[in-house]
Amino acid sequence: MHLLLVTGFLGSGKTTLILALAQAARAAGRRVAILVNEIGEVGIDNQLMRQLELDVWELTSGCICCTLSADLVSTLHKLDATYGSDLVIVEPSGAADPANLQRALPYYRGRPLESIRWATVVDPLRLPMLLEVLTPLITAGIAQADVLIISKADLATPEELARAREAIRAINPRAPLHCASLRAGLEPTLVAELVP
Amino acid sequence: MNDLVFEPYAAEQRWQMPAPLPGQAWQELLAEYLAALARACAGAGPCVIGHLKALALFPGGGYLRASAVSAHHPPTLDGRAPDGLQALDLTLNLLVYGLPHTALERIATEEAAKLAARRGGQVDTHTAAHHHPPGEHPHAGE
Repeated sequence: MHLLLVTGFLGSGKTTLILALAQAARAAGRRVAILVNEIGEVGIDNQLMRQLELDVWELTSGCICCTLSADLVSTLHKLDATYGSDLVIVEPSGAADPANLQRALPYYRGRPLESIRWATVVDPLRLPMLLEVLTPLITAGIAQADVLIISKADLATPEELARAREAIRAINPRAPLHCASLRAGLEPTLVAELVP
Repeated sequence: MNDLVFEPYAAEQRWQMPAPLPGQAWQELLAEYLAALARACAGAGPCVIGHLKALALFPGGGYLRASAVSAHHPPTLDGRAPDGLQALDLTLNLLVYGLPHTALERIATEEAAKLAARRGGQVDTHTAAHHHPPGEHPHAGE
Protein backbone atom coordinates (compact mmCIF):
# COMPACT_ATOMS: atom_id res chain seq x y z
CA MET A 1 0.00 0.00 0.00
CA HIS A 2 1.35 3.40 -1.05
CA LEU A 3 0.47 6.56 0.86
CA LEU A 4 0.21 9.97 -0.78
CA LEU A 5 -0.47 13.02 1.39
CA VAL A 6 -1.66 16.09 -0.49
CA THR A 7 -1.26 19.28 1.49
CA GLY A 8 -1.71 22.94 0.70
CA PHE A 9 -3.62 25.92 2.02
CA LEU A 10 -7.39 26.26 1.72
CA GLY A 11 -8.41 26.76 -1.89
CA SER A 12 -5.02 25.90 -3.34
CA GLY A 13 -6.37 23.11 -5.57
CA LYS A 14 -5.85 19.96 -3.49
CA THR A 15 -9.24 18.46 -4.28
CA THR A 16 -8.90 19.13 -7.99
CA LEU A 17 -5.49 17.43 -7.98
CA ILE A 18 -6.79 14.45 -6.00
CA LEU A 19 -9.79 13.96 -8.27
CA ALA A 20 -7.54 13.84 -11.32
CA LEU A 21 -4.97 11.58 -9.65
CA ALA A 22 -7.56 9.15 -8.34
CA GLN A 23 -9.21 8.89 -11.71
CA ALA A 24 -5.85 8.34 -13.42
CA ALA A 25 -4.84 5.69 -10.88
CA ARG A 26 -8.18 3.94 -11.16
CA ALA A 27 -7.94 3.95 -14.94
CA ALA A 28 -4.56 2.24 -14.55
CA GLY A 29 -6.22 -0.52 -12.53
CA ARG A 30 -5.22 0.65 -9.05
CA ARG A 31 -7.51 0.35 -6.07
CA VAL A 32 -7.60 3.84 -4.61
CA ALA A 33 -8.91 5.02 -1.26
CA ILE A 34 -9.22 8.71 -0.44
CA LEU A 35 -9.22 10.01 3.12
CA VAL A 36 -10.65 13.49 3.38
CA ASN A 37 -10.23 15.70 6.40
CA GLU A 38 -12.40 18.64 5.59
CA ILE A 39 -12.77 21.59 7.87
CA GLY A 40 -16.25 23.01 8.24
CA GLU A 41 -19.45 21.55 9.56
CA VAL A 42 -20.59 20.11 6.23
CA GLY A 43 -18.14 18.40 3.89
CA ILE A 44 -18.20 19.40 0.25
CA ASP A 45 -15.15 17.62 -1.16
CA ASN A 46 -16.24 14.20 0.06
CA GLN A 47 -19.73 14.71 -1.45
CA LEU A 48 -18.17 15.52 -4.81
CA MET A 49 -15.80 12.55 -4.68
CA ARG A 50 -18.66 10.18 -3.88
CA GLN A 51 -20.70 11.68 -6.71
CA LEU A 52 -17.79 10.76 -8.99
CA GLU A 53 -17.91 7.20 -7.59
CA LEU A 54 -14.57 7.39 -5.83
CA ASP A 55 -14.04 5.50 -2.58
CA VAL A 56 -13.89 8.11 0.15
CA TRP A 57 -13.49 7.98 3.90
CA GLU A 58 -14.13 11.09 5.94
CA LEU A 59 -11.95 11.86 8.93
CA THR A 60 -14.37 13.66 11.16
CA SER A 61 -14.15 12.87 14.84
CA GLY A 62 -14.82 15.94 16.94
CA CYS A 63 -13.00 19.02 15.74
CA ILE A 64 -11.39 17.56 12.66
CA CYS A 65 -8.59 20.05 12.37
CA CYS A 66 -7.22 18.92 15.72
CA THR A 67 -8.03 15.22 16.05
CA LEU A 68 -6.98 14.25 12.55
CA SER A 69 -3.93 12.31 13.68
CA ALA A 70 -5.67 9.58 15.67
CA ASP A 71 -8.44 9.32 13.11
CA LEU A 72 -5.92 8.95 10.30
CA VAL A 73 -4.12 6.05 11.94
CA SER A 74 -7.30 4.17 12.88
CA THR A 75 -8.70 4.66 9.37
CA LEU A 76 -5.47 3.39 7.80
CA HIS A 77 -5.75 0.29 9.99
CA LYS A 78 -9.35 -0.24 8.84
CA LEU A 79 -8.36 0.17 5.20
CA ASP A 80 -5.47 -2.22 5.59
CA ALA A 81 -7.73 -4.85 7.15
CA THR A 82 -10.78 -4.53 4.93
CA TYR A 83 -10.21 -2.64 1.70
CA GLY A 84 -6.91 -3.76 0.19
CA SER A 85 -5.90 -0.43 -1.32
CA ASP A 86 -2.98 -0.07 -3.68
CA LEU A 87 -2.92 3.67 -3.03
CA VAL A 88 -4.28 5.76 -0.20
CA ILE A 89 -4.55 9.49 -0.86
CA VAL A 90 -4.96 11.71 2.18
CA GLU A 91 -6.31 15.23 1.91
CA PRO A 92 -5.79 17.04 5.20
CA SER A 93 -7.67 20.23 5.81
CA GLY A 94 -5.93 23.22 4.31
CA ALA A 95 -6.00 24.86 7.73
CA ALA A 96 -4.31 22.01 9.58
CA ASP A 97 -0.63 21.77 10.39
CA PRO A 98 0.88 18.92 8.35
CA ALA A 99 3.29 18.25 11.21
CA ASN A 100 0.39 16.55 13.04
CA LEU A 101 0.29 13.95 10.29
CA GLN A 102 4.02 13.38 10.43
CA ARG A 103 3.79 12.73 14.14
CA ALA A 104 0.90 10.30 13.67
CA LEU A 105 2.28 8.03 10.97
CA PRO A 106 4.76 6.13 13.18
CA TYR A 107 1.74 4.79 15.11
CA TYR A 108 0.47 2.95 12.05
CA ARG A 109 1.04 -0.76 12.64
CA GLY A 110 -0.62 -2.37 9.61
CA ARG A 111 0.87 -3.75 6.42
CA PRO A 112 4.14 -1.92 5.80
CA LEU A 113 3.70 1.13 3.59
CA GLU A 114 5.62 0.74 0.35
CA SER A 115 6.04 4.47 0.03
CA ILE A 116 5.02 7.72 1.68
CA ARG A 117 4.97 10.78 -0.58
CA TRP A 118 4.11 14.36 0.30
CA ALA A 119 2.74 16.58 -2.43
CA THR A 120 2.11 20.23 -1.65
CA VAL A 121 -0.11 22.39 -3.81
CA VAL A 122 0.67 26.11 -3.90
CA ASP A 123 -1.67 28.85 -5.13
CA PRO A 124 0.54 31.39 -6.96
CA LEU A 125 -2.19 34.05 -6.80
CA ARG A 126 -2.07 34.26 -3.01
CA LEU A 127 1.36 32.94 -2.06
CA PRO A 128 2.99 36.30 -1.22
CA MET A 129 0.06 37.31 1.00
CA LEU A 130 -0.16 33.91 2.68
CA LEU A 131 3.57 33.80 3.35
CA GLU A 132 3.15 37.12 5.09
CA VAL A 133 0.18 36.29 7.30
CA LEU A 134 0.43 32.50 7.77
CA THR A 135 4.18 32.04 7.59
CA PRO A 136 4.67 28.87 9.69
CA LEU A 137 1.77 26.97 8.11
CA ILE A 138 2.65 27.80 4.51
CA THR A 139 6.39 27.39 4.96
CA ALA A 140 6.00 24.01 6.67
CA GLY A 141 3.87 22.66 3.85
CA ILE A 142 6.39 23.68 1.21
CA ALA A 143 9.45 22.60 3.19
CA GLN A 144 8.28 19.04 3.79
CA ALA A 145 7.11 18.31 0.23
CA ASP A 146 8.56 15.54 -1.93
CA VAL A 147 6.74 17.04 -4.90
CA LEU A 148 5.59 20.64 -5.29
CA ILE A 149 2.81 21.78 -7.58
CA ILE A 150 2.09 25.38 -8.47
CA SER A 151 -1.60 25.32 -9.38
CA LYS A 152 -3.77 27.76 -11.34
CA ALA A 153 -1.13 28.31 -14.00
CA ASP A 154 -3.92 29.36 -16.34
CA LEU A 155 -5.08 32.09 -13.96
CA ALA A 156 -1.73 33.49 -12.82
CA THR A 157 0.37 36.00 -14.71
CA PRO A 158 3.93 35.05 -15.75
CA GLU A 159 5.17 37.41 -13.03
CA GLU A 160 3.04 35.70 -10.36
CA LEU A 161 4.32 32.31 -11.47
CA ALA A 162 7.94 33.50 -11.40
CA ARG A 163 7.49 34.99 -7.92
CA ALA A 164 5.91 31.77 -6.69
CA ARG A 165 8.78 29.68 -8.10
CA GLU A 166 11.34 31.92 -6.45
CA ALA A 167 9.60 31.89 -3.06
CA ILE A 168 9.13 28.12 -3.16
CA ARG A 169 12.72 27.45 -4.15
CA ALA A 170 13.95 29.61 -1.27
CA ILE A 171 12.12 27.26 1.11
CA ASN A 172 12.52 23.93 -0.65
CA PRO A 173 15.25 23.82 -3.30
CA ARG A 174 15.26 20.04 -3.78
CA ALA A 175 11.72 18.76 -4.52
CA PRO A 176 10.58 18.48 -8.14
CA LEU A 177 8.47 21.52 -8.95
CA HIS A 178 5.56 21.35 -11.38
CA CYS A 179 3.47 24.16 -12.74
CA ALA A 180 -0.01 23.12 -13.77
CA SER A 181 -3.52 24.12 -14.58
CA LEU A 182 -5.10 21.33 -12.59
CA ARG A 183 -8.58 21.82 -14.02
CA ALA A 184 -7.21 21.20 -17.50
CA GLY A 185 -5.80 17.79 -16.55
CA LEU A 186 -2.47 16.43 -15.34
CA GLU A 187 0.79 15.99 -17.18
CA PRO A 188 1.80 12.32 -17.32
CA THR A 189 5.11 13.16 -15.62
CA LEU A 190 3.26 14.56 -12.62
CA VAL A 191 0.99 11.52 -12.41
CA ALA A 192 4.02 9.25 -12.61
CA GLU A 193 5.69 11.06 -9.72
CA LEU A 194 2.64 10.84 -7.50
CA VAL A 195 1.10 7.48 -8.39
CA PRO A 196 3.59 4.62 -7.97
CA MET B 1 -2.90 36.34 12.15
CA ASN B 2 -2.69 36.53 15.93
CA ASP B 3 -5.95 38.39 16.28
CA LEU B 4 -7.99 36.66 13.57
CA VAL B 5 -10.55 34.08 14.66
CA PHE B 6 -11.32 31.17 12.38
CA GLU B 7 -14.93 29.99 12.56
CA PRO B 8 -15.95 27.92 9.54
CA TYR B 9 -19.50 28.50 8.37
CA ALA B 10 -21.56 25.91 6.51
CA ALA B 11 -25.11 25.90 5.22
CA GLU B 12 -27.54 24.10 3.00
CA GLN B 13 -29.46 26.38 0.65
CA ARG B 14 -32.40 25.91 -1.66
CA TRP B 15 -32.52 28.47 -4.46
CA GLN B 16 -36.01 28.67 -5.93
CA MET B 17 -36.73 30.59 -9.13
CA PRO B 18 -40.12 31.57 -10.60
CA ALA B 19 -39.45 29.57 -13.76
CA PRO B 20 -36.99 26.89 -14.91
CA LEU B 21 -33.56 28.24 -15.92
CA PRO B 22 -31.02 27.04 -18.47
CA GLY B 23 -27.97 25.41 -16.91
CA GLN B 24 -25.80 28.31 -18.03
CA ALA B 25 -27.96 30.74 -16.07
CA TRP B 26 -27.50 28.70 -12.88
CA GLN B 27 -23.77 28.64 -13.49
CA GLU B 28 -23.66 32.40 -13.90
CA LEU B 29 -25.81 32.86 -10.82
CA LEU B 30 -23.52 30.69 -8.71
CA ALA B 31 -20.41 32.50 -9.95
CA GLU B 32 -22.10 35.81 -9.17
CA TYR B 33 -23.00 34.58 -5.69
CA LEU B 34 -19.46 33.47 -4.87
CA ALA B 35 -18.06 36.76 -6.14
CA ALA B 36 -20.59 38.67 -4.03
CA LEU B 37 -19.66 36.59 -0.98
CA ALA B 38 -15.97 37.31 -1.49
CA ARG B 39 -16.63 41.05 -1.82
CA ALA B 40 -18.89 41.10 1.21
CA CYS B 41 -16.34 39.21 3.32
CA ALA B 42 -13.55 41.55 2.27
CA GLY B 43 -15.76 44.53 3.08
CA ALA B 44 -16.87 43.25 6.46
CA GLY B 45 -13.59 43.83 8.26
CA PRO B 46 -9.96 42.70 8.37
CA CYS B 47 -9.96 39.12 7.18
CA VAL B 48 -8.20 36.56 5.04
CA ILE B 49 -10.46 34.52 2.80
CA GLY B 50 -9.36 30.91 3.02
CA HIS B 51 -11.88 29.28 0.74
CA LEU B 52 -15.48 29.97 -0.23
CA LYS B 53 -16.99 26.93 -1.92
CA ALA B 54 -20.36 25.67 -3.01
CA LEU B 55 -21.52 22.41 -4.51
CA ALA B 56 -24.72 21.23 -6.16
CA LEU B 57 -25.18 17.58 -7.07
CA PHE B 58 -27.48 16.27 -9.79
CA PRO B 59 -28.90 12.84 -10.56
CA GLY B 60 -26.70 10.71 -12.80
CA GLY B 61 -23.38 11.90 -11.44
CA GLY B 62 -23.53 15.54 -12.50
CA TYR B 63 -22.35 18.37 -10.35
CA LEU B 64 -21.66 22.08 -10.26
CA ARG B 65 -18.87 23.30 -8.00
CA ALA B 66 -17.89 26.91 -7.42
CA SER B 67 -14.87 28.19 -5.58
CA ALA B 68 -13.53 31.61 -4.62
CA VAL B 69 -10.38 32.50 -2.72
CA SER B 70 -10.35 36.29 -2.85
CA ALA B 71 -12.35 39.32 -3.83
CA HIS B 72 -9.72 40.17 -6.44
CA HIS B 73 -9.98 37.02 -8.53
CA PRO B 74 -13.11 35.70 -10.21
CA PRO B 75 -14.61 32.47 -8.84
CA THR B 76 -13.88 29.25 -10.69
CA LEU B 77 -16.56 26.79 -11.74
CA ASP B 78 -16.35 23.07 -12.42
CA GLY B 79 -19.05 20.84 -13.80
CA ARG B 80 -22.35 22.12 -15.13
CA ALA B 81 -25.99 22.41 -14.18
CA PRO B 82 -28.57 20.68 -16.32
CA ASP B 83 -31.07 22.79 -18.24
CA GLY B 84 -34.56 23.33 -16.95
CA LEU B 85 -34.07 23.37 -13.19
CA GLN B 86 -36.37 25.65 -11.24
CA ALA B 87 -34.69 24.95 -7.90
CA LEU B 88 -31.10 24.25 -6.93
CA ASP B 89 -29.91 22.66 -3.69
CA LEU B 90 -26.53 23.96 -2.65
CA THR B 91 -24.05 23.09 0.06
CA LEU B 92 -22.01 26.10 1.10
CA ASN B 93 -18.76 26.34 3.06
CA LEU B 94 -17.19 29.66 4.02
CA LEU B 95 -13.70 29.35 5.50
CA VAL B 96 -12.56 32.82 6.43
CA TYR B 97 -10.00 33.99 8.96
CA GLY B 98 -11.09 37.07 10.85
CA LEU B 99 -14.88 37.06 10.55
CA PRO B 100 -17.10 35.55 13.23
CA HIS B 101 -19.65 32.87 12.42
CA THR B 102 -22.49 35.32 12.89
CA ALA B 103 -21.05 37.69 10.28
CA LEU B 104 -20.57 34.85 7.78
CA GLU B 105 -24.12 33.67 8.35
CA ARG B 106 -25.46 37.17 7.73
CA ILE B 107 -23.35 37.58 4.57
CA ALA B 108 -24.36 34.19 3.15
CA THR B 109 -28.04 34.83 3.77
CA GLU B 110 -28.20 38.45 2.64
CA GLU B 111 -26.17 38.05 -0.54
CA ALA B 112 -28.21 35.02 -1.60
CA ALA B 113 -31.48 36.82 -0.92
CA LYS B 114 -30.38 39.88 -2.91
CA LEU B 115 -29.28 37.89 -5.94
CA ALA B 116 -32.35 35.68 -5.98
CA ALA B 117 -34.73 38.63 -5.50
CA ARG B 118 -33.31 40.33 -8.60
CA ARG B 119 -34.56 37.35 -10.57
CA GLY B 120 -37.85 37.07 -8.72
CA GLY B 121 -36.67 34.07 -6.73
CA GLN B 122 -35.89 33.27 -3.13
CA VAL B 123 -33.40 31.28 -1.09
CA ASP B 124 -33.95 29.24 2.06
CA THR B 125 -30.76 28.94 4.08
CA HIS B 126 -30.28 26.35 6.80
CA THR B 127 -27.11 26.96 8.76
CA ALA B 128 -25.30 23.81 9.85
CA ALA B 129 -24.77 23.30 13.56
CA HIS B 130 -21.87 25.37 14.78
CA HIS B 131 -19.68 23.41 17.18
CA HIS B 132 -17.26 26.09 18.27
CA PRO B 133 -18.55 28.97 20.38
CA PRO B 134 -17.39 32.33 19.02
CA GLY B 135 -13.75 32.96 19.80
CA GLU B 136 -13.16 29.49 21.16
CA HIS B 137 -12.17 27.64 18.02
CA PRO B 138 -8.75 26.06 18.53
CA HIS B 139 -7.42 27.87 15.46
CA ALA B 140 -8.20 31.27 16.92
CA GLY B 141 -4.89 33.02 17.35
CA GLU B 142 -3.13 30.85 14.79
